[in-house]
Amino acid sequence: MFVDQLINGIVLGSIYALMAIGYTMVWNVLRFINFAHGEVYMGGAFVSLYLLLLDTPIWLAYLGGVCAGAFLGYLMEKVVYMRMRKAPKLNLLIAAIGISIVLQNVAQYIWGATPERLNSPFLSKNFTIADMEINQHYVFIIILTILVMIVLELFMNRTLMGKAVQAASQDINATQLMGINANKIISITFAIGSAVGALAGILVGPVFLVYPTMGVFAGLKGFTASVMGGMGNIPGAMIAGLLLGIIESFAAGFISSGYRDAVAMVILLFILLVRPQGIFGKIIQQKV
Amino acid sequence: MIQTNKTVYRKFLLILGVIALFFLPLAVTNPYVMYVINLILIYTLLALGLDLIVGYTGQVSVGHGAFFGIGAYVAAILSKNLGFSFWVNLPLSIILTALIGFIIGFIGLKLIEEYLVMATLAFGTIIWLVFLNWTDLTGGPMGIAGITPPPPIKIGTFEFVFFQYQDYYPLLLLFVFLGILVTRLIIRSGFGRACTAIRDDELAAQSMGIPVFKTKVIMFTISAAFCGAAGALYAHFLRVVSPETFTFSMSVTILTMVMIGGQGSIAGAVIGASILTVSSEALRETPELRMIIYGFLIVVMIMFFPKGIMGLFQLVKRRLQKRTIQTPETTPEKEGLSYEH
Amino acid sequence: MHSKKLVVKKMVMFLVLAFLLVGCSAKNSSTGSSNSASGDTLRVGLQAPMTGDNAQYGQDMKNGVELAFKKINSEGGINGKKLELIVGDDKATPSEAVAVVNKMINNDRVKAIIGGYNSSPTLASQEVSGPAKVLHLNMGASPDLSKTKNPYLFRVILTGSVYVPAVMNYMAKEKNVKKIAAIFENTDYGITMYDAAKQSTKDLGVDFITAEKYNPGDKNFSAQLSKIKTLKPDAVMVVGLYNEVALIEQQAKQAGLNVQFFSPDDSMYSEQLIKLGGDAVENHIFASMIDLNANTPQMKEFKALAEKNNVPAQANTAIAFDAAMAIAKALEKGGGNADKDRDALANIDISGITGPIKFDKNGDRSNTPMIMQVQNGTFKVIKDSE
Repeated sequence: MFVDQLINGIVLGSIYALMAIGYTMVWNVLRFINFAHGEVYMGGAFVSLYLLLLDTPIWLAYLGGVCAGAFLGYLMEKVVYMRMRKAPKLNLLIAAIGISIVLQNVAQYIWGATPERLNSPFLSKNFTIADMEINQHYVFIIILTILVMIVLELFMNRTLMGKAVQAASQDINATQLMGINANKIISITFAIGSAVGALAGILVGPVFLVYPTMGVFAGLKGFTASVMGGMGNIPGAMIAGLLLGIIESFAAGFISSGYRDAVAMVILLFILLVRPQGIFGKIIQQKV
Repeated sequence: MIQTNKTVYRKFLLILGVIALFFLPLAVTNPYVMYVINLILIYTLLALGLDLIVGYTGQVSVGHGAFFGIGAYVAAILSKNLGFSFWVNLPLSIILTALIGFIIGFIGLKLIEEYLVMATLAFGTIIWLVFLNWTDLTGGPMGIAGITPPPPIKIGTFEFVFFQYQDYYPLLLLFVFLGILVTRLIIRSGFGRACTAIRDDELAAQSMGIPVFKTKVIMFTISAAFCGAAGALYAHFLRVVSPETFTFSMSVTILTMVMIGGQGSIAGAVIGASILTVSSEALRETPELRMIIYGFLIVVMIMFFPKGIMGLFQLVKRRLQKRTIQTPETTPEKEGLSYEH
Repeated sequence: MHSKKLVVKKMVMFLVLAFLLVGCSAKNSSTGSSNSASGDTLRVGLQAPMTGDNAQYGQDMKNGVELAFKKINSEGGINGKKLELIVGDDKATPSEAVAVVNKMINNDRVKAIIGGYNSSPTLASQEVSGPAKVLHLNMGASPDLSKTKNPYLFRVILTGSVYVPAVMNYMAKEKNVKKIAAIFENTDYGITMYDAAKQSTKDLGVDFITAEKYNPGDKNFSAQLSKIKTLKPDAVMVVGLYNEVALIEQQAKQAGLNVQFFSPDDSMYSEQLIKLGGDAVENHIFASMIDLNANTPQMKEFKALAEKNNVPAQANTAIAFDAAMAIAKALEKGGGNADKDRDALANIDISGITGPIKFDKNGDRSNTPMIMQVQNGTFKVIKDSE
């Protein structure tokens, strides 16, 4: 029971960690919460599902979903957010909510509301380790998540582009003065964050199914994880995501499964009130 | 002289309009239309309540759907379990919702901007999960059905019953007018002006000696009380409550009503509630399309008309007046430059 | 001060205007409807989940009712009037059901309502249709109709008290199951089914070792399943719809819980179960009131009709078809008078795809179910109805 919940927690946590990255990266450059990020998660999964229906090989379908997610995030920024740079934060927030309503219902209009299962080559097989059964797809999720984190870490610290994104997160105006195209940096940030979010959706598709509203709670959890880790702190978001998944699984297993989603919300409230800079800390927006 | 005549004339028209509204059921024979109009009135009350804190005090909440739910569930539970009548439930709902509003406000209003939005979101979700999971009290996903309509009132030979939609309408209208009256009294008082000062510039307000936190909490409590009243009215109107009504999307709907109508405006709240309710009922046949249009409308409005329909009205009016009078109602836009941090 | 007055005036004007607008548009539609209703069409409503997790059920039901109406209309309609279907999406939630039934009765003036599928929305909405004297033929398993005291409420499927003993009996006698773990939907439907199952355990010598609940729409059952796994049951009873049954069994296999799964009723009898569950739902046992492979003339006729109209022949399509035929028959006999329609439906006796359609004094049918199992991705009868 304990080990079962631990494994479930780590799998869930990987997904939350991937989601949290998107929130935290966007916060870094624009200082706002992209509430429509959950829809990228849903969109990527749906595109993969659709590609699989067209008899695309699985790896290509997954990759296609990730690319579609990146493009969706890029589009969101170009069409809506870019035109609202000077608007109050509240307006951006409401625009994001509007976008997420549109995307959810466009998905429902095209693909219908019935949950569908995304195929995975590993789902029906289990590893048996010392009397314990672990699903292969779970292992696949964990491995892929670790891989993404390493790649992202390398990108941020070892490439010029990554360094530009880091610079932008400190002061986007100064970055622009230095001759870096701020709009390009913002676009890249959205695309990367969204690609990672879409990957999370695709990985979850075989286990918890694909349906138009799948992004709502995943978004909330990812967002909670990003607050826990300290808004803008990428490694913090990853660790916090894992932590959140594990806490949630144990709470669901040992307290009540009905309140599973409440756990994340209680943690969110607690963090906001007691330690708004997150567990791992990061400079937050100062009041002007 | 002409001026006073004009105001008297206007006042007369206003009163006439108000009285005419009470007799609307005589003209509308279709109960379904009456039902939609009643829904508009309930949403108007909600939008008025949220506008107090969003439009007049500048604090954004995406948890007011939960206050609506608390009001509705308190009335439903009291009616179902204890057999209380509407007239007892309504004040109890208002008091309890205000109390919870006070607690939430007291905890949450120390936070600013996005952090407050997140906190109200978390709070709203927790309350919804409580509705969903506390099966013994709230009926869980089944909700509570069979809530009694308000018992009739006898005044002299007149008997007011509230069984059908057209009977319920005057009651709702009365509460909406009461809500408008209270809103006007608040925003015209010194307290209301303190709130607008906080909205426009919190630091300046503080340096002028306005107790910022206390003012915010009081306004938040009043705002929650409005939603509690709307909830009790809703429960006894629909006679069934179930948790999915009071999710995050309800909070968003109310906020959208305020934004589309125009923040900080009573007329805006009425307009926002009317437009959104009518359009969502009119598009009932095509539920997917309804939500797509709805979401699209939100994005377009917020991108191009962030002050809502009332803001548009005022713009047009000012153009027409050729800038002869500087209307005192315009509020300086709070500039939140995203490049500055 | 002046401009504020203006604003308020404008607001009142807007209110009047908006209300007039609503009034006009709705009046148009209502006069339109009363014209056509008094002319050559009769309207019947379908209350079903058309969006959301349960949308597949709504679609199946809509297909079934449309098939039946097409058949009736092509044969000349009812007393010279054509049947028209008004679809109302109840989203499987009580408050939406009330709203939509309200609209169908008051605005579209339907004579009868078929549905809803889910129990809790049906219980809520029949409080609107009852006082309005509109026939309501539902497809929910749980509400005890005698408790509603609504003479206009009927049920086309079997009740929990018929389904549950059949499957419990089978599990105890044929499968020698002793310890059962239950996992059920936390709604009227799930609770009624579980209570009925518990009632039947005493005579059979079986025991429920645990009862786990979930909310409709849940996707993650790992907590409940790992609790069940530690208790080592002989079998697991799942009360739920195809989404949940498929997910629960899939996640059970992932967690290494490999025991016999069964359900007390046929609400997961849908191709969608196989599609979502795949290998994981293999060997699932359930009680059913209908077998789509049955060799009866009614079933053949229905399947031919479905094929002609390009509609998948699902269990719920067939049941909804039967419901529509029964309603049509009642409306024909009653001639549009609410009380006569009711009496006609109460005394109906026709043979449908799902066997003889007759209602007892509560408005329930008393056919006996058969036991079915998922075998090689198809639904097979493993024990005929008695």
